Amino acid sequence: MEKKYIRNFSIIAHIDHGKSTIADRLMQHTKTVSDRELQEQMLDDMDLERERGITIKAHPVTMNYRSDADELYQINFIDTPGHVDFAYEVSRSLAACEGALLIIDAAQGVQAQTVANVNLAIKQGLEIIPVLNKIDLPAADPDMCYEQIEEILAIPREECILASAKSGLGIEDILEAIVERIPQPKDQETENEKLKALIVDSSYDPYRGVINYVRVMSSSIKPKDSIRMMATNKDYDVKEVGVFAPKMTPTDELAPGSVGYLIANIKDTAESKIGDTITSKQDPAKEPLEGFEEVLPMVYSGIYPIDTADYETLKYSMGKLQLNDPSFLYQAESSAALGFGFRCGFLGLLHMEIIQERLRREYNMDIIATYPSVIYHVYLKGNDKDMIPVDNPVHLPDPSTIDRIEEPVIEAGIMIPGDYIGAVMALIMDKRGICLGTAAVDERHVMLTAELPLHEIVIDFNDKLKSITRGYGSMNYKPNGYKAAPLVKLEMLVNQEPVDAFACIVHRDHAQSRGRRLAEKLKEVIPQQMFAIAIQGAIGGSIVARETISALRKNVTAKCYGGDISRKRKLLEKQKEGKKRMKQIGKVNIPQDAFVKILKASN
Amino acid sequence: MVNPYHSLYLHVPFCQNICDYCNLYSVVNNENSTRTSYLGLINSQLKDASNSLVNLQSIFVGGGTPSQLTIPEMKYFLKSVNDHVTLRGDYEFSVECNPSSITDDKLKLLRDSGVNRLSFGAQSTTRKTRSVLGRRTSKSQLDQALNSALNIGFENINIDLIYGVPGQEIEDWQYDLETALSYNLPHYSAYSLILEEDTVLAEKFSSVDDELAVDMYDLTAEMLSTKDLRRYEISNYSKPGKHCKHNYDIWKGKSYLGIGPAATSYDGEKRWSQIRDLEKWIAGHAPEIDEIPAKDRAGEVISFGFRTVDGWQKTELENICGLNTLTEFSDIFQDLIKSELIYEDNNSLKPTEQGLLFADSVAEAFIFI
Ligand SMILES: Nc1nc2c(ncn2[C@@H]2O[C@H](COP(=O)(O)OP(=O)(O)OP(=O)(O)O)[C@@H](O)[C@H]2O)c(=O)[nH]1
Ligand code: SF4
Ligand SMILES: [Mg+2]
Repeated sequence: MEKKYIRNFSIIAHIDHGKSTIADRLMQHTKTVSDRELQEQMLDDMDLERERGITIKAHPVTMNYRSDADELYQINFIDTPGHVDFAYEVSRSLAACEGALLIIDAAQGVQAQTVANVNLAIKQGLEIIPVLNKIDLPAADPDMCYEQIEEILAIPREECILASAKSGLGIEDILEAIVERIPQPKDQETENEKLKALIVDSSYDPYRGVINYVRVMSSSIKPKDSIRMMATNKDYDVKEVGVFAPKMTPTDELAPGSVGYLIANIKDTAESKIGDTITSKQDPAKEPLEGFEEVLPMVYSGIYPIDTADYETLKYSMGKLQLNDPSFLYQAESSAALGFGFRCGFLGLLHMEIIQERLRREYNMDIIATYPSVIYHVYLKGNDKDMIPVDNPVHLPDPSTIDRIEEPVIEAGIMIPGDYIGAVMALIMDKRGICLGTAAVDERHVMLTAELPLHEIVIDFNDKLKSITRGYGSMNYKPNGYKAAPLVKLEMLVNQEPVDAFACIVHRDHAQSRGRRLAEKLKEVIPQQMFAIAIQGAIGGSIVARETISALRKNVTAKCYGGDISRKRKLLEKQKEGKKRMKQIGKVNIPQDAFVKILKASN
Repeated sequence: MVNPYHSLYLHVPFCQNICDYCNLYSVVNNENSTRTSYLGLINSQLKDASNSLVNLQSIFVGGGTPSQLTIPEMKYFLKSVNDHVTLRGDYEFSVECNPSSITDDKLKLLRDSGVNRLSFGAQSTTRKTRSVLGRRTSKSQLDQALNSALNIGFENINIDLIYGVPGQEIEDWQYDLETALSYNLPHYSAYSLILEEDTVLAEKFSSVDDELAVDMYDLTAEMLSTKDLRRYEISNYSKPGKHCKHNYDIWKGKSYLGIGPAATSYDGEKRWSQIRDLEKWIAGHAPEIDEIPAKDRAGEVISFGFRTVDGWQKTELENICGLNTLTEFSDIFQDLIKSELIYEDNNSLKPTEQGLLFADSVAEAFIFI
């Protein structure tokens, strides 16, 4: 296919505005999938994606489209995730495109991630096609959307396409706009005759090795070509190239300007880095393409096997998982309470939850995760040069030796209906943030810019924002350096024993309330036992919170006769199985999802 | 040569109405023809098993409501038993009765057929508690039934009571116990209410008050002890020597054959349960067999034995299901002793007070997974 007939774009939007459903309609309309094969949000093919109704991983698709002018186009698009944890997937996807289909839920209007994603697209110089989706909804308010789009996105309202992914309205208009408005793939300014393909993403197949998702910028790739990874300088022979239609479908070549996959017997994802440039071994390019900024984890937490004997299996499973999700990091560590396990880095709380779930389900691991932490920068007295990064509260040096601790801060864009401005400002203050500015979005909405400690965001800021604004508020954030703060280590004691896995680093002024809340929540999630369990929060030896889980009075089935024996045993087996899947700390059983529950349940 | 069973259980799956808390298998609407087929099949199964029903220690006819059988039905039923079963000298032959369906004639028939123990479902003597339970029998029916039974010559009589019922207060339970004690019977069963799955009660209430239930449990033992009634199992109390042999033996792992829909059996090696469906049972549906390794079986037997106050003599533990569990399970016994759930007493291992209240925790220790 000539470049002239190739179009590449990403579908971007705030979470849940209908990206994947629009993708369904596009694939249906172009007969990329038959009506029989089609299911709702069919690109969300991971179990977790389907269950939660969200996109976790970017999904590329190639389709053929015959335009109204009777010309055949190859259209490559990438359906991106809307959740802020996966923002890096959006920016990588955009690097493979010339255009972006910006979906806006016509009932919700522009939201925080809409703005963030538009900014990313603009930065990359992409053509944006705005689509007001869900106009079938009675609450759809196109006028509000037009105003917002002009005000904050600076996009003329005339460019908007009205659509409903539910009814199929506007899908043809979208396809026509794609071929008309999005430019064809550009020629490279230099070395245009040499092969340059950008690795946008990758996945791992146990039989075929690494599968690279690539955008060919110049020249083309065919099976049997010898290629070179420019970052590692390693050479490989191409085994197969193809496109996602939406299943992997081999093709003869990946033409210049197109998007597809490449398999080359690469056994380790470390050998083909996302963002690296693939070139030809015989005729290599000199300059690689501009890659991606490395994404660093925002949140850290320990993951430990419930059964210590599972350590090696867990390690193996994490390795496998990482092959498909390089943004997840892990490193061996040990805990007095939990034994041997791993300190893991995640992009955010949702990412953390998803990794834990995948380990449980796809790899059948029984694991417990500790209270999440961020990376603190610790400076010792009399030594201002050396900074000690601390991602685990247990490793915080003796407080008397610490000069100061700095914590990561973020800059948040918070979009809310104007009525809630007071309440949200109060929340920001409560979470130790500073409001940096406000801007009107339209008559009824404002965008607040605020600086907040990352840790507060990780814990519950977003949930609180949602509940204060009755679901109308949305937020986006990006890292904004480090700031000193009076931070202390809060320790949690179970039956007088400090449990390292429960420790966390908190602001001095919040330590007591955080300690109380943690104790209360632990009381809720730890099951009652035959004896009373004391839960205490302590800061530097002084107790700031105390809760008691009262002892169970009985655990007996009153009536048990001959007929009940087999049934009884099955019940007991289930119970025991359940307990085996809890982590024993001393004599106390802690359920696997204790911390997720604690974080979830906050208010 | 067939190994004779120790006891026989017969299930009579008929009730007048289904009580809101009950999950025992029974039916209310039944055709005459069904009842006839049922009785016929009981007879033929007894006949088929008669070689192994010799010199039995006990027979227990439970339900459902055995007293719901009509006189002719009951006659046929008891004749079947007597035709095909032989009992040893000190036998126990129990029949469960509902005060609302028992009559003097039925009582006489039972007595004349060798029945020597009756168990009455009373549940509660107060209307408030009975109405929560959806139990229709009245206090006067209970009075009358007990009087008749005593007059006709039964001495070995039990009544079943339930406590921990939503809305029931400790004073209500005290009143129930006082009334029950006034009958001066040699045996009482007092159960803490269980919200069984798929019962009307479980739909209405999500949990029972454990704190209150334990207080009631303590009150039961305290009040019954004044009449020389001793707790010998978690929910059972008797005067010396008047415990229910049938149940006691089952708790201690003795073999028994169960006949009738939903009846279970244990031959010392495997357990099997008949289908919980009268029609299918009549049609000859095969039982569900539960065969588990000797070690698990021994664990099961031991944990049931620990539901009795006297627990296990060490010599008994030396051979449970062919295993010397005294040595094989010695770690578990030690752990349970350390947790104060069982204790050593005169060459026996017995549950502590706490061990009875935590019988399921004791049982869990003998689950090997
Ligand atoms: N009424 C109506 N509902 C829609 C429309 N488009 C999508 N939805 C619904 O909106 C919800 C979210 O749709 P998705 O397609 O999963 O949204 P998404 O933007 O891909 O979500 P993420 O990938 O998680 O960011 C689903 O329940 C869809 O059925 C529409 O045009 N009309
Ligand atoms: S409690 Fe007795 S009478 Fe009531 S339904 Fe159950 S078996 Fe029948
Ligand atoms: Mg999606």
